[in-house]
Amino acid sequence: MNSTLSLRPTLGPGLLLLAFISALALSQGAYTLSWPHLSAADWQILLNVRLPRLALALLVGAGLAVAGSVMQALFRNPLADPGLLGIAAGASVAVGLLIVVLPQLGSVSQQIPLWAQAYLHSLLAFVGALVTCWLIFRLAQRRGQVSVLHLLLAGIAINALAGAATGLLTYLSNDEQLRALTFWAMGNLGGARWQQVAVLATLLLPTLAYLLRQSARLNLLLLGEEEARYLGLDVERLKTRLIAACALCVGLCVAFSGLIGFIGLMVPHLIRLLFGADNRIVLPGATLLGAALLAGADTLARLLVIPAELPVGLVTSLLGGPFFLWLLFKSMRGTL
Amino acid sequence: MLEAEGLCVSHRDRPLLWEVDARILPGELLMLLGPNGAGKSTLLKALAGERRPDRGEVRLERHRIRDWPFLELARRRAVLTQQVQIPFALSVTEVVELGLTPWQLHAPRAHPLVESQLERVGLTALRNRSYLQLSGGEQQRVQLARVLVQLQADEDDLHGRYLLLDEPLAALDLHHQQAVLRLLRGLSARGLGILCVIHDVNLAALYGDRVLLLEQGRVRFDGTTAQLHHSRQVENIYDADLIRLSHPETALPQWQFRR
Repeated sequence: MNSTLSLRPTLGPGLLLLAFISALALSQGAYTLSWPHLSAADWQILLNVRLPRLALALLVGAGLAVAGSVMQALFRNPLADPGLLGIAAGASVAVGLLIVVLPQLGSVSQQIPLWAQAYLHSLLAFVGALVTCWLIFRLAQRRGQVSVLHLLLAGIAINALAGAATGLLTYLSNDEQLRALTFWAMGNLGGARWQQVAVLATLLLPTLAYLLRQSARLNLLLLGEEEARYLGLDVERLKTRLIAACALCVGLCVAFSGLIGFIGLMVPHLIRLLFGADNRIVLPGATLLGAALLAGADTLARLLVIPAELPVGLVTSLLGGPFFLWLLFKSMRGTL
Repeated sequence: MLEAEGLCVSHRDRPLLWEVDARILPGELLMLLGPNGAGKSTLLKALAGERRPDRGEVRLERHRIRDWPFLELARRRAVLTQQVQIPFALSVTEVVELGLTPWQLHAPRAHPLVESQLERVGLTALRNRSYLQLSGGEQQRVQLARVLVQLQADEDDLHGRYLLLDEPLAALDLHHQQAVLRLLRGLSARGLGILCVIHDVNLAALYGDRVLLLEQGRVRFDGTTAQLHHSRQVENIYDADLIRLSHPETALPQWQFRR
């Protein structure tokens, strides 16, 4: 099989959509830009507020969508999603711990530069996501097959556990930490700074590049692990690497934007509906659509209740919840 | 030659295979028969290198199968398991193309190969259909085309290549059973060594070169199909009330139920 990515079907429409939504995200907001004669303040808003926020949305959206696509192939299940399976929640507990504990170290925490804090957050989120991923795999595997039911049940259990842990953290935190924790947990792209975006990009882009290069191998996993081995694939090694890369992707997204659900579920499904299930098409397509969808949802979140703004996680859940129900109905009727 | 020597496999202290010797020669169609739970699929998986035996050794061309690099092994032997489920809507062509994975082929060479194998299993008309929309028998033929592509990607000589099939006829109607069996005979004539797990003793005797009969993890018969005439193992092992006949055209042994 030709192992190269197939960009042709999704690249054109994807980039068009991305350009349109980016233009919308940059031009619209609570503060009205005096187009086309921009003042210094306008430039300030554009370059240091909206642009880094857009960049963060694009990166996180792409990261979540690709992680979702890969996990669906890995678990051979179109309902696998980093949020539903509790992997994002696992990462969030680790980051929540950091949010609450770090300030209590007092003056030491003040001296850590922003970029180092960002890396620290990423590392912890990665560890949290990795532990959860491993747990899910252990819980859901039955004689080499991953069962849908066990997968989702394991997800429910882990989400509940993580919820309880986060609840405990709120008791330990002061008012300021509580606000930070709550806003972050609902999924928020506000207050993005270039330093954070740069840190995220250095870690996320190589991970995405690695995952996209595995597209053809993901197709083999769709046949089943035994069949993939008969075709010469070192399945165990690939699985380990894919799980680590997915955990890194999800962990990073959670560390920088909190819990944003359903992107990883909706995006790959839409791409498959439009362009077929070949992962050489699904992964690049999901990268583009994931980026566009989250940037669009974030723009909505900023515009809906001006002058305040909604957490973007709320918007994606409002879109994704019904979508998930529809998928469930479809899969119960066996037409998935 | 793909051979197993003194294979013992057990699952939770229950022996599945006991001291089994088996060999598949180039250009030979070997039929693997036995009642339910006799260990047929286990033997196939052990020969494929998927199931590690507790004792004994599987060798491909005199080298231990676990010493073969994954990719090299995939170019030498293909395996068709029972009913491959794919949870996503891949097209028929996309599934068959997966058989090309062990090879670095470019589109101009890959495309006609996939097309010709689709034609061989009679699926040309369905090539763009989603795998999920196919019947069980059609899915089975798609997977057959996929393993045929895997073994024939580089050249026409099939000596030193092996195909292991686990009940390839299970979901097929009479027309397609005959078509697949004739296809297998054609492939073995070109040098391919084939092991085929099969339930129908009559088809096994009619199309096989040799028959291996398993019962409770032990080999009860290993010989040519004509030699089955001189053995009562089929009647004994299946414990069914049977009449033995000779096939009118080939004189090979056949069995029918006594009413």
